[in-house]
Amino acid sequence: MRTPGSWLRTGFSLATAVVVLGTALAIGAEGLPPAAAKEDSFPPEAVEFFETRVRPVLAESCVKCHGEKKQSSELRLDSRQAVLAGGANGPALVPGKPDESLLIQAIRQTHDEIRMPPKGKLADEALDALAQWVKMGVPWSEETRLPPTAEARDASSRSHWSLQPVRAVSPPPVQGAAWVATTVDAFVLGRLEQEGLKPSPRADRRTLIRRATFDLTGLPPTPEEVEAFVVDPAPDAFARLVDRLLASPRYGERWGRYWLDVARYADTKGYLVRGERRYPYSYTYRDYVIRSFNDDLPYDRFLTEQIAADQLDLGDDRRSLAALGFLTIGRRDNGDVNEMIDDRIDVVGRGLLGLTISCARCHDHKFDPIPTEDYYSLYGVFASSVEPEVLPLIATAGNDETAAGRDFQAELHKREQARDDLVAKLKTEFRADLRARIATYLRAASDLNFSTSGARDTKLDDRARADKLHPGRLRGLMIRWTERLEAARTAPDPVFGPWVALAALPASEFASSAAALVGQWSEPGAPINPEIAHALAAEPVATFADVVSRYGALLSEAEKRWHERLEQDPGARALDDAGWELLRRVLHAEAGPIETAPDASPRLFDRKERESIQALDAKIDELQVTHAGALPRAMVLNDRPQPVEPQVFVRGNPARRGATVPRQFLEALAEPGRRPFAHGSGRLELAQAITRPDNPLTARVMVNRIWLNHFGAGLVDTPSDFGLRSEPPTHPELLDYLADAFVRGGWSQKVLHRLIMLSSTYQQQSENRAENLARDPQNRLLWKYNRRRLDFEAMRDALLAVAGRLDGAMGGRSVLLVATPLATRRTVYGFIDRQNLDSLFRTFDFASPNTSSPRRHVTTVPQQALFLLNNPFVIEQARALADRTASESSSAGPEARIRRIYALLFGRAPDARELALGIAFTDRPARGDTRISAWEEYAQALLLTNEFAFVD
Amino acid sequence: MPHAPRLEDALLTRREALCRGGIGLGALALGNLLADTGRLMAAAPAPAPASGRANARGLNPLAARPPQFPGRAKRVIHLFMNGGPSQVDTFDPKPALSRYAGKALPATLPTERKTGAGFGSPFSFGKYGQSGIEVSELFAKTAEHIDDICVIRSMHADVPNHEPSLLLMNCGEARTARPSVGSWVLYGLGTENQNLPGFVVMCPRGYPISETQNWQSAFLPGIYQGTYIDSQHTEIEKLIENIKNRQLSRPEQRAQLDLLQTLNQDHLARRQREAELEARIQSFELAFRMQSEASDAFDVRQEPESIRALYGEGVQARQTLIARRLLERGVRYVQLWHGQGQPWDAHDDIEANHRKLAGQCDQAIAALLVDLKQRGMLDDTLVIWGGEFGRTPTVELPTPGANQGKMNGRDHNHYGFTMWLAGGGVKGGHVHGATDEFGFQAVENPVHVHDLHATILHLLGFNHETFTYRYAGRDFRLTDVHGKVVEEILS
Repeated sequence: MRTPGSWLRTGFSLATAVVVLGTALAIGAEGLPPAAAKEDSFPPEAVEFFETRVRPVLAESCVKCHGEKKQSSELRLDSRQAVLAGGANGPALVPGKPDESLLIQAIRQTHDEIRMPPKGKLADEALDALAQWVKMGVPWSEETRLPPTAEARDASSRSHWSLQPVRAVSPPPVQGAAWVATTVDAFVLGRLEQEGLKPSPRADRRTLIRRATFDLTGLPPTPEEVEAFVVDPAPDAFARLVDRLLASPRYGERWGRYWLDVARYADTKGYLVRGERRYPYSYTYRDYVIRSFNDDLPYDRFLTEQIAADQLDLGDDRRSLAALGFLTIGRRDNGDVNEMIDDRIDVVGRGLLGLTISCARCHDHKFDPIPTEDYYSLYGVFASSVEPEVLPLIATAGNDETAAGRDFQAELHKREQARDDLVAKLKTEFRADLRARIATYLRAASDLNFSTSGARDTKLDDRARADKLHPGRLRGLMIRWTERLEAARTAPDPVFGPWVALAALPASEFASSAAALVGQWSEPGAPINPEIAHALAAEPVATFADVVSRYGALLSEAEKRWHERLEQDPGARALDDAGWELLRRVLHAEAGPIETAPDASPRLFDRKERESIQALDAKIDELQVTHAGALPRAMVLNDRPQPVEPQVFVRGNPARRGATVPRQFLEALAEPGRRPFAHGSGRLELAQAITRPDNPLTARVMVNRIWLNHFGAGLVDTPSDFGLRSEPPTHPELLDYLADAFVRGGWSQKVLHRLIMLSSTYQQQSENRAENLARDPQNRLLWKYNRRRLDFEAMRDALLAVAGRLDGAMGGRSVLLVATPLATRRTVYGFIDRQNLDSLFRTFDFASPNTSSPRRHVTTVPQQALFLLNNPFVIEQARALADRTASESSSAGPEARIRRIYALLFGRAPDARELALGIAFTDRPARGDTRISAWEEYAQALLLTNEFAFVD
Repeated sequence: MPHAPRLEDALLTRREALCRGGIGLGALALGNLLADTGRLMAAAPAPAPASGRANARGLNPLAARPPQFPGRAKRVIHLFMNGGPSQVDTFDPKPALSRYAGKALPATLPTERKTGAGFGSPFSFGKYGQSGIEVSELFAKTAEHIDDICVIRSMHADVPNHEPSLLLMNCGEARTARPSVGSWVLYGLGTENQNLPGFVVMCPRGYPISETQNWQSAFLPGIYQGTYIDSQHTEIEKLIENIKNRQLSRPEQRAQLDLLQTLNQDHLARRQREAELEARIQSFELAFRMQSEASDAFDVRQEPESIRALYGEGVQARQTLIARRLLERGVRYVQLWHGQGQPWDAHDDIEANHRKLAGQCDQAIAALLVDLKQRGMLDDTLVIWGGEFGRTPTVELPTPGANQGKMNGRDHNHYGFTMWLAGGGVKGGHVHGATDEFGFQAVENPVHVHDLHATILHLLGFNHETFTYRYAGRDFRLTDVHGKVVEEILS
């Protein structure tokens, strides 16, 4: 191996050598020091010492956490190689130097932070032995306990079922073939027969239509629909029912909402200290999802649009651009870019692939074959994508010609103008101040070496304060000045050339070298601004600070001359003297070093200035959120002109950059010979990789979600985690059959719904049967249909529906569900505040919109009952139900009214006892101070029943 | 995989109870019903309801259940001085600071804003109790009970900014959404009183900074989130949502409920008695009782005059007294915030600010300690006092747009600050750890927020390393990969 020194001798420049040396050291620390290979050369007594005095200590006190099973701080202490390689805190040992060895400091408990073992200090004897062992050069006797290589680890995890290709499975032979209605049944029955269980009988028609209608539309069937279905003699009555429901626009509102759980949909950005929290156009993503479900958009296309719609040829109908909300709709948390990207990786990983990729943010995934490099490959994809300043319009028919549209445009223009004016004014002040005090600013910048550590640079702030300078302007000057000098390094520059040349001189020989240079520049014909040459030559410059102050004085003088000139001739456009004019241009030329960039970084403004800009920005946002004339826009991403070459963040820390990795797909799922993404950010290639028909996860994950929402339980119990720690599917062949059918059926979800719903499995009764309950209490083998409680949306929508008050309008801005007058739109159009989610949502187990939600929890708590008993929303619906049934059965007396309520709520007729109860309840005086009629009270009681809240 | 193999048995037991007691008698049946949800907790690592099918379709997950090992504390009250009270003006006297008043300290540390010279405390300190622990005049009344208090003077956090520090203090993680301490505790222990929320958060006049994230349940089920109550109100309807029916008299509502439950019983009988159906039936009974019980719990007028006088006047007194009433009734976790926004955040005028705020809560805090003690509750109630960080011993310099430029306030300080604990298995009359000579940085026995969390969980009977919840492929802990129980403060 070539040592770093040999590079030096071969004549590399000093700067290059430093870089090479740095790289060499970095490799040494992460790979293996050369000494590691020599362990067999230790004398027998050293090995003996290790075996008797050291290995027992390591085995007893260390390897539990630093060994094969666990690698705390990424450190293993079960091989010499691993010990020397060290862990997250660097090498554990310096052979021969116990006092400098981290491990020894840690066990002596003299290290500032690391004290080991955690349970208490080792005995002195052990401490001495380990120190002696290090002094001896870390002798070891190997049964060569090298950690398994990454390849070996991957090989074992790659055999995990969910990473295997989906198989085209044929159904097993079954005895009860008569029960098999679709292929689904053969798989289910096969398992039941294996366990000696019998499926349940088919549910009756009333049950089936209620089940299917809630299932596909989230609403109850009307009494008329129920009766028509009950008397339909055709053998395909249920199939036609399913088709009718799938064709209803209510279907997309129901099943789209399931997807919105996965997509962590919300209408706000999360916590922001100031500024508009609401997303003006989040609803366009929600509407896109609903429309896509209703249109049965093939799932592969659906995913592709959500990842890369901006890179597809969409033709004239640009509405699908809204699909990108899938990526952009997440939590913003005051604009922390790394968190935002993590959110996007997570929603793609868990949401589409059932992989917890985010676990690989700080280290290789502990269970699944996802190296941390893969996380940063995807990081690069999203870091290479930006949201444009102005989101694209997606309206199909323009309503910008309406009064509201015009009013919106005018008001928007006004507010944007106000913001632009303020920014322009601040920039004018910025320039005026720098021009007026350029010498002072330059001196301060020079004191700081023209370098700043960022927005919170206390050194810079202190220095600015000392001369009463504006810190943002000082920072801006330094940034722009440095850029300007950069340009002067590559092309001859009469103004900045001398600066660059003098800045390069070493301090020790500055005076003499400078004198020589200045001499050359003073010669006639030198390509140097004569004023600069003159100023530098007037008196010898002793240090570079002198140079800066000469420039400062010259620029001040140029500014003074310019003002005098303007006084004489307000129309003047330049100074007459060419030398002074060049200097004037430093301060006045467009794109000169004191011009702020067009996208002026907020760091150039002070806090008060920034806040005033933000306040005007918030007014612009607010208008878009609230104005009726704002046209829908898509929350898109676009590729950066120059994609980001991602680097691994060591242990997830952005300040610790590791290896550069290509933007590319996950190794565990990529085709052999994985190639880096070649086009822009790589989002389209990512989408293609995810939707490839042979991707083992995409189809499996989606069919499992669909199954879950039909049955209340998935074939895989962790719908967003198909990794090594997930439980295997209850019916692996069925899962593969469905996934294969899904892909081969053109990724059609409606085909899959039919396949599932037309099965006998789906149409079973939901009653418990003692013999089966004992064997399989959780019904994992599907010997019955699972009785299910209405979720939040279905509950609220059903209340409105039976009350006859459901507003069927589709799409548009979200509405506040809890504001009065109480909204009657479907719940899917309710406003979701990510930061302070209304307790109503939480009480009824709504999905947390913080991150992608695999499934709803189902809890039963008294707060739910309190809402139903007392909330004005419920009482309003009870009143409407009472009123409605009074008018719909006005002449027929109380019995008919009760029958109507039962038909609306339960799709059946009341029995004699129920009729009697109803008549008795409604025909009696109220007790105490009661302000609603007995019929309203009765209607409310029925709305609260289990029969209404559960679907059999 | 958590199973409930004896579901059938449990059902019969409940059925019998229902038959014997009629529909009004929900509590007994519920007790049995809820036993099933013990599986939410069980062994370590706890099985995750997110993946447990039975749990995902579960029953009342708020039922009381035992911790991993017998804990010293059964309930918690966290008095949150939001904004960050100054340690050197309250519980961490620094005479050296007065000597350096107006002079540069030998060493200062960077905080959120620029600070300058040393700034001696404008408050006088005195020794209290047998332990002789020094406390400033600001908390003179609380100080009378110093022998019940364990003062941790060596707290430290990660950054000098409100939002991340609030989230660190409340959820153990500064950036991403993680469950709050109260949510973890409610998840772990359930609550003793099903008629009240198990985790109550009171803050007068609105939310603190970071808002509901401070008591979020994050990936735990939403029912473990803190129930926020704007304690400026006194009417029960404004305190607890949906607690009152405006249309029905109570007897009439009972009649309505009786009809409902008769119909539900018929429905249940036709459907083979499914546990979920029964759970929902019982939830209505609970809700009905909650209406009166919650109203009682929040009605401080039911307290004797002597007790009300003990707590004093004002919203702090009232919310503290309500808190005691809640704890007494079995609420698991109560968090009291001083007020909307960040009241203790004294970048200017710290003397006036701290005097006013301490004046509002000192008597109530002292009263709480006395009152818990006289009811025999202090032994198993953990009282926590503190902010999200402390303040600098140096004076904050004027910053345009950031403070009033008065040069009489202190900046945020996460390097060293004071919190105190009382009751619930901690040593009284004890000081743990120390800051440096000026109170800037924890130097002796530093206690990180993660360590505090580990200790709180320990006191409640949980090992913070094995008390986990699986979510998105990981077993999450309140303390993530950090935290060490502060053994020295355990009694």
